[in-house]
Amino acid sequence: MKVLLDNITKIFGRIIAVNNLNLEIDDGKLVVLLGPSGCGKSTTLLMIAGIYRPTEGEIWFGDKVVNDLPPRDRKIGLVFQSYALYPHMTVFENIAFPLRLKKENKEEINRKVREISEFLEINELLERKPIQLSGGQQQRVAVARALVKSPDILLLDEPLSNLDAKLRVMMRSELKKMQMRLGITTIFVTHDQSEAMTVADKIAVIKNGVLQQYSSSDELYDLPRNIFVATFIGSPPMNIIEGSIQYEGGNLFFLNPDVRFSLPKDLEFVLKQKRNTKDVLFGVRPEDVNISMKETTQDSISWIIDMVEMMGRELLVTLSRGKTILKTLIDREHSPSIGDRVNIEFSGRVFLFDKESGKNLLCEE
Amino acid sequence: MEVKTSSIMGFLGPFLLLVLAFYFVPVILTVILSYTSMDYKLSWDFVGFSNFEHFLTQSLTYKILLTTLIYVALTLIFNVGIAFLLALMTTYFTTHENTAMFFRAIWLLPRLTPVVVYCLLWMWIFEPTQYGLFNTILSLFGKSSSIDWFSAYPMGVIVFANGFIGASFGMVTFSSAIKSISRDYIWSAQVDGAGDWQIVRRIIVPMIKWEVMYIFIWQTLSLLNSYVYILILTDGGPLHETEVWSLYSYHKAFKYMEFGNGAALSLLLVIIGIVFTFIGWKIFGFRRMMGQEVSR
Repeated sequence: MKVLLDNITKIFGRIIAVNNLNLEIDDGKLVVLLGPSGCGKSTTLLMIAGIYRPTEGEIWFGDKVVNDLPPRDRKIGLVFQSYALYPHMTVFENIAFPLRLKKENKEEINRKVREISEFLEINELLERKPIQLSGGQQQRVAVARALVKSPDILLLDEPLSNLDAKLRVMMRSELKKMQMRLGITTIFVTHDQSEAMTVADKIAVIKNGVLQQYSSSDELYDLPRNIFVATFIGSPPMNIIEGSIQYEGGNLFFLNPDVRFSLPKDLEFVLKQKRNTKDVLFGVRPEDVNISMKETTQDSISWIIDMVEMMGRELLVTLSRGKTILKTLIDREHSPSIGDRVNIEFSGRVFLFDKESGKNLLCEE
Repeated sequence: MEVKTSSIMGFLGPFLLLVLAFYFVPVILTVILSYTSMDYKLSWDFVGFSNFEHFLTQSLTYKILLTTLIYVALTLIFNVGIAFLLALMTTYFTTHENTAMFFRAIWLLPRLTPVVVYCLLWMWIFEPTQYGLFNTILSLFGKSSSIDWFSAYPMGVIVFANGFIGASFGMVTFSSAIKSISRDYIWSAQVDGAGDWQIVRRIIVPMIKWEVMYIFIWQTLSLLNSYVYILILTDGGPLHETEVWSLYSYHKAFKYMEFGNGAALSLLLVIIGIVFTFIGWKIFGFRRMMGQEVSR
């Protein structure tokens, strides 16, 4: 089922929780609503579920406006972060609950509960109470309860946040696999960008109730629309350095009192139309910064290693030059030590953002 | 950590003395008293079980027991049932918290009123002449003759008067219990397809079972012991129509000055209370609930 949010606004008292949100979710896709806590992503989900009513705007399921439909008539399944398994019911009763409310007959209920619990591998647990289950098992039961009535849309509100780190990584790929097998339109709310990147067909980044960018994981990473998206996506986050751009002898430079980077030629063309922009934020991802000990013509060896953090496969190295700080991810073979002087090189894409608006200068309007 | 016995006694001692003087000693005295025939002469004449034999062979005792059971059962409908309805109305069905609070506060007001004033109010409501509130209301519907509520429905009078004030305690307890149910459960049930009635029956009631049990047993015991409203409103009459066990005990001891008999009746009431508590536990499956709690 295709879902369309058309100019959705939700106001609680004086707080605008969701501000003029437009979103189109294609049939069978998994879309993630991503943002920091309090950004309005859960509110949006609860509006789609029918628990909150939008203050303005329309919600479409397929070719029908559903604003006035109560939750039970929307053919949705919903999984909460807390799972909300009814503590006084067994696993079987929990999963059967939506079917019993639909007054389906006993055999049909039995068959459907067995089927879905085999699919989610929880058929051994049916007689237990929720209290006797592990976090991962509870999560599966919650998913089973959401799916048992074959909903058109599956809504997941931070479904993995209550699991420990290892289980979370496992369950997110299982959720994705399950979603693809069922081909069910799914809306997934999370504050965890790496979770979002791994499961999503498309990600909607939301901040303070306003949609920042709605695109695929790749595009979000490669072409963030603004500084918020750029720093929110990717871990460790992108380096941001304040400064200005200048033309010198036909070349383009980024400058501040500590550093002077020459910028790639292809940026020049884009920036030409935005001549008047001077104060900018320069961005580069830690994985796109290389360090070397050899001298270059342009810059003498001039960055000092302040900190080396072991990240497993890689090292996170903090460099400084004057007041400017730069973080870089490098292979362990380099074995740098604190206090060493090194030089840097950018191996990947660099970004420029307008200092005032935060917009990516390299994106078209 | 090692704690000295002397310091334990230092801290607990004063309180223990109070408990001893005002709770424990009276109970012992009541028990001893119930084996005497003490009357206005206040002499301790032990008579063995004869007080108990006297009551257990009297048919009036069983009538009073029946009256007590009817009174307790009917008032419980208010104190638990109506209390639950009021709590539901002011929580689940009222999203505007200030409105709900205002309503609950009004219902709670009689708790602040002296008992006598509250009873006077009900005497006016049930006033047998045309000036009583109920009779006035009836006359609005075209009924010309007034009803003498106190003689026609004495049990109704005391149940109403007690139930209306009694319901407020359950209402407050149930409201806070309902409000502490996570919204996720309610929302989840809505998405699962439950309507209001189903949410109340399948989610809210099972989740506030502890509170319901607590109020049920607490109210049962306090109703078994309550006689003040009845004393003021009907004094047990007409005849023995509203004479409940505790009032009977009070009359025996302080009206007829038969302290031995009064004490024996009190002791029997304690036994009745214990029986009721066990019945309450059985109804709610207390053991099973304890089991759930432990594994939680």
